[in-house]
Amino acid sequence: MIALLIIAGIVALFGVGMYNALVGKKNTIKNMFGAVDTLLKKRYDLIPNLVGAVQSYMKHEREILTEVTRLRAEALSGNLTDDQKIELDQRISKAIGGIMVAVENYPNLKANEQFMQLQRTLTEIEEQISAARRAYNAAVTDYNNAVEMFPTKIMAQLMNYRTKRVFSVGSAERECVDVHGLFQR
Amino acid sequence: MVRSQRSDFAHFYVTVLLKDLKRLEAARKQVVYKLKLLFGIAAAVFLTSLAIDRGMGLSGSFPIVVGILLVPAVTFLYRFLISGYVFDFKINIIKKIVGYIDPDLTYAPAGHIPKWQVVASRIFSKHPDRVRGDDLVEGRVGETNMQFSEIHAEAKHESRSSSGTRSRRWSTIFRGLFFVADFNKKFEGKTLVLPDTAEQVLGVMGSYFQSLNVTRGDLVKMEDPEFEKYFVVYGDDQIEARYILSTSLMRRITEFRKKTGRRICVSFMGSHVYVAIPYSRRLFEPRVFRSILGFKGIEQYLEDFELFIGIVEDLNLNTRIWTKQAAEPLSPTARYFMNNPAPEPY
Repeated sequence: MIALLIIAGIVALFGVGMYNALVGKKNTIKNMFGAVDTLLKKRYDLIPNLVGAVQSYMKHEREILTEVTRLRAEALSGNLTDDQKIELDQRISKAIGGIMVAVENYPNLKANEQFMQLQRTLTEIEEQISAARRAYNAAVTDYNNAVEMFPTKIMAQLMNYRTKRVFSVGSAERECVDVHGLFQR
Repeated sequence: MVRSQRSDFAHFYVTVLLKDLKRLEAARKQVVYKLKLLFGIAAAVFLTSLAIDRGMGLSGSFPIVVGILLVPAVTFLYRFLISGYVFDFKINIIKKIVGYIDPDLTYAPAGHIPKWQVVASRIFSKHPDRVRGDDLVEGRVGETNMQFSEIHAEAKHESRSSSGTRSRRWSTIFRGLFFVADFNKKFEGKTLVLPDTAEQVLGVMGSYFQSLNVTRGDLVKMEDPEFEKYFVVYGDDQIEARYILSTSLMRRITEFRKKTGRRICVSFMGSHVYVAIPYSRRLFEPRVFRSILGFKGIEQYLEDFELFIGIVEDLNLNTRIWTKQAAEPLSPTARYFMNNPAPEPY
């Protein structure tokens, strides 16, 4: 009888441990997504400055400037799901990338001190966003491993936890990487 | 501007270094003669003590006492006898090689990275009680301020025997090259990149044990499999660690690890990057018992310096596309050591 109680106690302890570990992993993902979101907002805040700095030079690229302003307004409108946020972010990345390519045609703009500072800030935020995404992906992988591996798999099924998707680099993002190449990173 | 053409260096060797090398070779031979004399006298003293011991029918303790006294005396005299030659070599040869690589770099033969910087790097889990070293190189390479030197970091162990006598022992924490540079990105936390022993030996279980090493910070799992094979990363901020260790920097650190073939440690602390490369051989020291005239031996100094100065390029520290543009000055250690010679000889 005592032996049975001891075994039951050990099983219960394992169960509690697995439960807490899974909840911890899920919260880490939430936390990491929050960090990505904060950094994305930081980038949105820079968009008016970017548009302001380039619009007096760029007479032929009005469309792209209007597009990026519209996307920013959409992103800040709220009530977006995580997937929508990711999708919008990819489109904004592409639009900003487009502006940066267009800048190449304006040597005066490229040499403008204020613009250069803005460009550096943008590059920094891009890299911070990329770091936050990688951290998010690492957290998701850790969580997915726990959900799919034995014995935590059993507990995950009981808790109705499903695997989550990692951030994938979309086609828009890949084009953005080319822009980074211009800075010889 | 860092130069690296070998044919150019051969010309430099012949036109600039060879004259001094020939003079130093003569000095070296004199030093060797004195050292042979020293060893001969020491051997004679020891043999005499043996003979006295036998003649007087002692229990063999006399030669042991003589031996215990002889070893530090010979070591002291050895250091004393070679010191002039070593200093002469460093000032006339090593300094010129550093100047050949980059005329803007400062070289201080007796200077070294100070203890506080070694401690600040947080690379070593044990606190060093004493840091000695020499051959400090300092200056700006492109946009980056950097400094490096050979160091020997030791921990002190004091014990008291049952009879009440105190004894002090030093154990080595690290011996090799220590490099410090101003990093090109802004950051606030600490990030440590250490050689991965556990995962190489224990596989997945190793990764589990690494995560338990709470004193170093949180385990940061990186996505580059080759980098993960060589290193384990600890940091206090998962995102910042990845911001510092971009995919390109991870690749560069892995390449540098392969290039040196040594178990390097890297840390990012207080806007600086620290690199520790262990060496069992002494760096930038002249040969004493072999000729110094050969080109190959001199070229080795150049290769060593190029490897260390090249860290700036290898880790891409000159790319200043982030908001932290201007290089931050490092403490002017070389100037300090030039005015205040190191208190303890290394």
